[in-house]
Amino acid sequence: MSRESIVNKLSERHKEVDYFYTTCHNNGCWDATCLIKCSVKDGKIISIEPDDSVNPGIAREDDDENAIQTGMIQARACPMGHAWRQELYSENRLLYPMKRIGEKGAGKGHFERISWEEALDTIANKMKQLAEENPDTPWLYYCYYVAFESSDFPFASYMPGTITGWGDHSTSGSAAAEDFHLGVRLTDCLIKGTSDAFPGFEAPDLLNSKLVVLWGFDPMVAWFGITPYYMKLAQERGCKFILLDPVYNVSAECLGAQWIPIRPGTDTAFGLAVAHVLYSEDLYDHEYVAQWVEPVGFEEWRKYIVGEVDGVEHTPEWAEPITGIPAETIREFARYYAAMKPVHMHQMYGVSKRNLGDYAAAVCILLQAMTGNLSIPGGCEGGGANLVTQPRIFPPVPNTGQIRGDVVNPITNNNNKVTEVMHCQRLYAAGEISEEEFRRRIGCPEGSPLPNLKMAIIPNNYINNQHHVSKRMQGFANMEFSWGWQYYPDQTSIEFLDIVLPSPIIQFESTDMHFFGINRFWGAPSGMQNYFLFAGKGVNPPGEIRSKDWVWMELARRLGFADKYCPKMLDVTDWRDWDEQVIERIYKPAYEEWAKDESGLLDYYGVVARPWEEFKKLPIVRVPGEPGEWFYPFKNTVQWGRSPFKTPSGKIEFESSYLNNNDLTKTRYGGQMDAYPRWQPTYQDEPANDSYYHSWTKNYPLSMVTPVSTYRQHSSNDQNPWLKGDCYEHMVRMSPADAKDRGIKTGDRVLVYNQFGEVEITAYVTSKLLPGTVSIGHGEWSKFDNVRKSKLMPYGIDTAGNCNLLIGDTHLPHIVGALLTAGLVEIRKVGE
Amino acid sequence: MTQYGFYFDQGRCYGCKACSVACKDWNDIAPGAEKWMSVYMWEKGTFPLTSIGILAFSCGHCDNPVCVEACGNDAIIKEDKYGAVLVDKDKCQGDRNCFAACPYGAPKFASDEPGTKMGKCSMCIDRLENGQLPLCVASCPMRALDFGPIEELAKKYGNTRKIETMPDPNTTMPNWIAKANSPKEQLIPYDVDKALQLTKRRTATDDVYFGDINAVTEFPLDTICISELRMKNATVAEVLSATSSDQG
Repeated sequence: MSRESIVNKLSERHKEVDYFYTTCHNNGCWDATCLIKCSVKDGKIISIEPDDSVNPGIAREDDDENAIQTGMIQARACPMGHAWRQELYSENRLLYPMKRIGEKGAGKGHFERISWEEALDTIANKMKQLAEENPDTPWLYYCYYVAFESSDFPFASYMPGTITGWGDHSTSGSAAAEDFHLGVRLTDCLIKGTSDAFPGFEAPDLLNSKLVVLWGFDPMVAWFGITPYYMKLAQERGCKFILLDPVYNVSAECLGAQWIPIRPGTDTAFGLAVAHVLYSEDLYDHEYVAQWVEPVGFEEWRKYIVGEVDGVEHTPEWAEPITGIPAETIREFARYYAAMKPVHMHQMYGVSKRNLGDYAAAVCILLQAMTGNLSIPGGCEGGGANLVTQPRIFPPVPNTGQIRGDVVNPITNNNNKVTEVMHCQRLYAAGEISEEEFRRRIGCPEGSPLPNLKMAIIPNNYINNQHHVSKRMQGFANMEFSWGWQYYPDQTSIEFLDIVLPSPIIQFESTDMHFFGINRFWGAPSGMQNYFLFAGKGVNPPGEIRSKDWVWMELARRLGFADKYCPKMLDVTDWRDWDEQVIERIYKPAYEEWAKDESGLLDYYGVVARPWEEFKKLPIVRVPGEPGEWFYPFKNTVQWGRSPFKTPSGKIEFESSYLNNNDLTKTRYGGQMDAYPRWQPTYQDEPANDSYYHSWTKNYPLSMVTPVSTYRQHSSNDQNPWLKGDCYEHMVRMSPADAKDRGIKTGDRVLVYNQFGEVEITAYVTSKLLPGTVSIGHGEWSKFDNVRKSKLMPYGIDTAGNCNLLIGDTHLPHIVGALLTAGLVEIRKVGE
Repeated sequence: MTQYGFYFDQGRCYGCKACSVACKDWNDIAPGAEKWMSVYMWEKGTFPLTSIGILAFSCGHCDNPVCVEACGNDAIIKEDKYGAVLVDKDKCQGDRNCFAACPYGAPKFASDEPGTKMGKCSMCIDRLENGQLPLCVASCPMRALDFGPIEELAKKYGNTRKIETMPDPNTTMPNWIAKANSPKEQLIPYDVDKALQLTKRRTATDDVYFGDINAVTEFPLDTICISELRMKNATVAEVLSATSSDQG
């Protein structure tokens, strides 16, 4: 009796449910498009299961070698994918439009509920007014997000005034190195489609690698879901792993990696010493270098490395005290690296997202070229754009009938310099800086109009999430009028909005576009782009939450271009009909067009397109790859016998001819950069802000790194109680030696501070990092206490532990571009 | 009866806790210490020879389920189809005799309040009855878990029933098989003493590291994060500490 009643009780919740599939994809989880299956009862999601669209009921998919070799495997989610119900059904959700009463800034004003009509009318009127008042000056910042030479603002072609950003956040530290030494530009191959040179790799190609060097890389936590699984399989089959990082991470544990701790920001010195061994012991790949490398620059860099330029021989002994790595280890690493081809040496973004980090990225790329590992099976391009491959299946293309307007918005700034835009526009207006200085500091190309921002549209938690939060808050507090979507009342960004709209969680509650053209036909992630998903709308959002695309359409109506913006939805005014009609009018026809298979690709793969109604039940299409034929970096162009390297010489340039022949200060890069990577703790007499060699170390001797977390997608999911508390506590990680010096032990509340901010957080004392280094995970929502206020912390000290409050945003005299993620700090026990 | 059990491949686990969260979601368990599937993490060694201990464990569904005998209310049974050890919450009085008996800390409690009813891994018997895998197993991004008749698992994976400092399996005979993570291989020479000395040295600037180099490797255990596997945790705070990740 007892068994039956227990089983019945356990089963009760899951009886009579409906299912829908979606993805938990949220930018900041590396856009991984993991697949989740949601069961719905009485209009609510009651549980989330992992992908079962292939190999259902199979636990270890590698039991079937064919599944591994053809990539026919599930896209299983990380813990965040299973925790969404705590987000969706949080009592804390914003449910109504609100307007701000009083000043902007944490603790300064308050919100009052308003109607949708009032919210939309106010926003539209304000946009109209600002557009009229500022005909020649960019006044609008849409922060989701200004990058890749675009603004991503839905109305950009209809109304002038949006700023447009070059660069991106993720690969911002390595982009210049890739551009100048390889002629590879992420924007061209990923966004614009103007280059077919793809620097990425598909996950099964890792099975060809003999050695993987994780350079500042924690792939289990910080790379596209399926790739880490293949890394593990590669390791089980004999591939070796080395971790080069100030912090020992879970990937190193899982992959059996040998940890070589390195002092933060000294990666360039390490790489130069490795190059010294390769040059002096003649261990480089002569054949590869002869074919792909521009010879003069190769020789010039050698001269620099061996000391013929500045008299400094960049030997392992030279690098030892800089990096903290014994010289013998550096030398043996170089020999081992040279002998283990193919090597997947993969430097992660954070290594180069610091002052002068472009050189660290360049060194990794050049070493991969020297050893002939850059464009071979089992190799790796080494830089930041190495996420790009060509999808194996192209999803249907939804057509909204949009007729683009004729407004052209010139590029106005680097996308990591928006805070600087807000800062400089005040200085410029006050006559404190010249036009030239303004341009240089924000990366504004000659001929483009200089921005004077008045409005920000914030659909995320941007203000919280990047370097120099205090400076950004000041900029946003000075905006004339800002609005946006938010999810919860305690998001840092909400305090800087005049009108807040309650946001649906779009993966579940609407049919909204994601960003940068990502629509409801969701493509698969880097490493395994062999499937796509159609994500319909699973459940209705709570309260008065309405679809975001309905909001855009309502604004387009008020601004007078709805007929051009989305003709297919022109007559749908009732928000209750919106999502159903979007699917019926836009997605269904797109699918049916795709299903005709006019290209013959589906036929090639043996995919039989199911009728729409049937497809919707299991809305995933996945195609097998050919065993052994997976993409490696630049495979297509290499096989066509064409150079993928769009440098002036068409080869890999160790010494960049572009940098030699151009003054970067006259370009959008604003500052200078040397033609090959050098070790320069200071650049043109300016010590790097985050360097051990800065005099600031007298006051702030600890070097802080800020890796991403397993439990936050940037800052999304930060308050999720199935994650925070259940899975982790947010803490500052520090060495027992540094803790002892300060009388700190695990669990103590400590103040982490420097000249940029003050953050109170709990200490976690661990041997997993290099003494002298501290680590705070990125993405915590600031919580200002409104008590301990100062000029530095006008809203009080942050008691949550947001690392971005502790990072400055200075780039020049080096080039503009990187999103900075490191800094120097000091720590003391709270109350002492 | 065919006895079913779990397999855990320690070398594949990076401690993400997708299994643990998926379990909570499926069984609708509130945030807190009632983690039927628990992922224990602890730190081993000192810099620079540090490693991370990881163990994902729910319940052994033991051949000798001492929790069943310990319960004075007949609230725990070992059912006869899969060999799952199940608790009937209607009968549970929250006296925690099961917790006292189980060496693995498998009985879990949402609160420290006396009388709090016990919750534990159900082997996802509701899913088994529908031909599905336990959700923790199906959820693992690294495919570190497996599930099936224990004899088949033993044939496939060997018969290791204890890794790390887990309790002696001969007491309760858990239907749980594991493969311990392989010892680390040193690929290139690394002089630990020299590396430690180098943590102190700086060039081109003053030496700002003013501490005692010995403090890197010698410290009282209570100053650092959790440094041992601790499966049996009596309070909410202890459970959360033993199963917490530093990846936040």
